[in-house]
Amino acid sequence: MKGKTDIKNATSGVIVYKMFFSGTLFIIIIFMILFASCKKEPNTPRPDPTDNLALDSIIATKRNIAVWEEIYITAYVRGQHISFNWSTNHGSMVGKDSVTVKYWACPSCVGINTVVCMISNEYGSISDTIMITVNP
Amino acid sequence: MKHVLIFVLLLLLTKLAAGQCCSAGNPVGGDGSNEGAAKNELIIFTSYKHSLSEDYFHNGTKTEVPYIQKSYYDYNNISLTYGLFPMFSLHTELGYFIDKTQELNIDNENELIRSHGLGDLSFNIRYSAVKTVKPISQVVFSAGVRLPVGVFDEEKNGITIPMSLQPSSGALKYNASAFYFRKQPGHLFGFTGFAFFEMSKTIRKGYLIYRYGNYFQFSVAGTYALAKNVSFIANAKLELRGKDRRESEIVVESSGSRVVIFNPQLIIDLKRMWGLVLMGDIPVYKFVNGYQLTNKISFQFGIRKNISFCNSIH
Repeated sequence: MKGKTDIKNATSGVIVYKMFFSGTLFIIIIFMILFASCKKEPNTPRPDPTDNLALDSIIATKRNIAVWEEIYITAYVRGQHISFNWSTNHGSMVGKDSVTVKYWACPSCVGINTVVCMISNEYGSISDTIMITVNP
Repeated sequence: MKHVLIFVLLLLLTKLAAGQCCSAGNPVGGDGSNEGAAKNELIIFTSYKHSLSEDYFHNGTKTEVPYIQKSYYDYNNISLTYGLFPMFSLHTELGYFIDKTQELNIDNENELIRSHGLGDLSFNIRYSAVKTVKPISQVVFSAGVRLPVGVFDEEKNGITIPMSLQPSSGALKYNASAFYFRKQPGHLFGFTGFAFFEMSKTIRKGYLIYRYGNYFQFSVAGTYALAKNVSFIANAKLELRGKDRRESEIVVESSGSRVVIFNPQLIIDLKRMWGLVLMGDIPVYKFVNGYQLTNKISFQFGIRKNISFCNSIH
């Protein structure tokens, strides 16, 4: 009877030991994973996705003008191989390079006019607007 | 002689150049003619027109403005009129701008803004209310639409060309007209009267919200038979255009005008139902609201052919 009891105790000890060992191992592995993920990465620069195509701003030399007054409007962009499309609901524009256009308005264009600049390349297209007030 | 008279009818409503602020404008009217074709008759008319605008006006006075030197266009059109029933005929017309150009001088540098392409497409139905032989007379009523099917997004160097220089007017338009012709048999003189009205729907394209003012035209003409197959028409036209409106119903003060135009025409009737026409538009009185570029002169040359399917069948 006593012998049977000893055998049972010994078996239980092995089970407890195995459970303890496997639990410890599990915790160690978890800690290793955590430490590994918290490890500081090397300081390598990543490109900003907007560098591929960005229209940061549209700047006009004046935004409140008289009829026939001539201003320049410039688009500040980032990216390569960019094509421009400028349009306005009222007024006229000419430009020898695409980044800057010359804008003026005839008498029928009095009012608050919208100038749109759309840029595009292989990454897509994006547009922005600027309002120009034309006074009589 | 009959063909000469038909030709007179055809040409008394001809294309006009509506002055706009910054360009020579678009030809006005959904009609190349106001004639009602006989049943099963097809009338083909094609013409070339050159229009020049270079005088800027402030109200009734010529004035100087910077930048704009002149504006002009070269325009081809073709129209078909088919007699569906004895009293009703259908008319369709399409134009093509060979070029529509504005010459500028900016900071002592010459610059061209130029577009080309299809203009508007028009459909009209015509009703010959009266048609008599003694005296030779005809009353024709017409109604129709002009569809902006043409080019309205032309660009140059990445810059969209201004609306007034686009080949298409960009707007759906409705028009109606009435035409009257009378001539005594054996007389050399004849008389015509014509009234035309056109109204425009609002253009909505991107940030552009714009509606052209209503357009009226009244004209009276005297016709004179110079020879058996040659006629001369002295036509006087009064054009009235209302003010345009932009977004929020804001009135465009520099729009709308009253113009009187002398429109001489020479019509030559050829054999086999062919015909030729030469005509000009010479403004004799101009009053514009605010400041606008006005038409200086235009001339047109056209060829016409009548085909009767009844005759070919018989």
